[in-house]
Amino acid sequence: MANLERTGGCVCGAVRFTCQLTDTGLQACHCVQCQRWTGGGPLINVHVETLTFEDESAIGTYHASDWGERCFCSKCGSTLCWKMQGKPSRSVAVGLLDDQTELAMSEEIFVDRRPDWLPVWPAAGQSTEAQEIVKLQDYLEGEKNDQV
Amino acid sequence: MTHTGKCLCGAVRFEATDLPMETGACHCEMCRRHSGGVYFGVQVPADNITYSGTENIGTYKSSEWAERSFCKTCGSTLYYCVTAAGPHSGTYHIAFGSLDDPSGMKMTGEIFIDLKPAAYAFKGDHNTMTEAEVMAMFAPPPEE
Repeated sequence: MANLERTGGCVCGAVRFTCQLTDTGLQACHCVQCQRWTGGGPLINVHVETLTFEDESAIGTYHASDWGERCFCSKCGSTLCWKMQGKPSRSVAVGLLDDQTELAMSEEIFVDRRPDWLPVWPAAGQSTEAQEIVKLQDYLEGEKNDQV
Repeated sequence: MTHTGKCLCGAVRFEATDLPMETGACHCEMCRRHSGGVYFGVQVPADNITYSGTENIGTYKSSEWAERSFCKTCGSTLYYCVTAAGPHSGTYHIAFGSLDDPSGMKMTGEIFIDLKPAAYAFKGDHNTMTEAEVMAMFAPPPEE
């Protein structure tokens, strides 16, 4: 049984956290925004049940869309996580984890944006940009209905 | 040939000339944490790149020999730059993802390959270097 309790932090250490992973799967997002934001590769996430920061004062945020929020360390610029605005984080960038053992790729999204040199992870779910947009619109529609 | 690029929000932009048409991945722990996973750099001599919106560039000195930069507005990874004196001083390794048009670029190498997590891998034949090999390459020449 893999250990799902993990710790992590940014390069400079201003942001440290503990988290409870949902499972040992990784999700790679190949969207153009994630490529530009991370500096090249997909944003590779672990899904988390809980994510508790020791100190949130160094966390910077940026809204590249009307729904998403990108969090980074304002001291060193480390990529932290993508989340829905106003919601708790459900994922965190895998590179931040102190221990990356026992994890495996399970899902790739925006696969039609994947650059040539990246392999298709054979066991991972594959979802295109169009499929993700449909999922997102369903989610946003559900949120709107909940507010009525 | 001139390449242009920018961060996600566009607050930081650059123009670079004569880029090598190749990128490489770094799996070191600092690149992993800074990018959130894997850092892909494109090597550019300091004289070949001009940044605008520099007031938005945040810099973090991550070691005695280099600094890492990011956009203070959106947090995009911008570059790794060698600060130590020597033949590599001032060399930028700009973030591949910040290029507006990366067409024609090839991935040719992976460094710190022994630190790569088992969870992912890249395809194709390319050079790899271990941590020990990289540190030996950048080590200062022995004093005489």
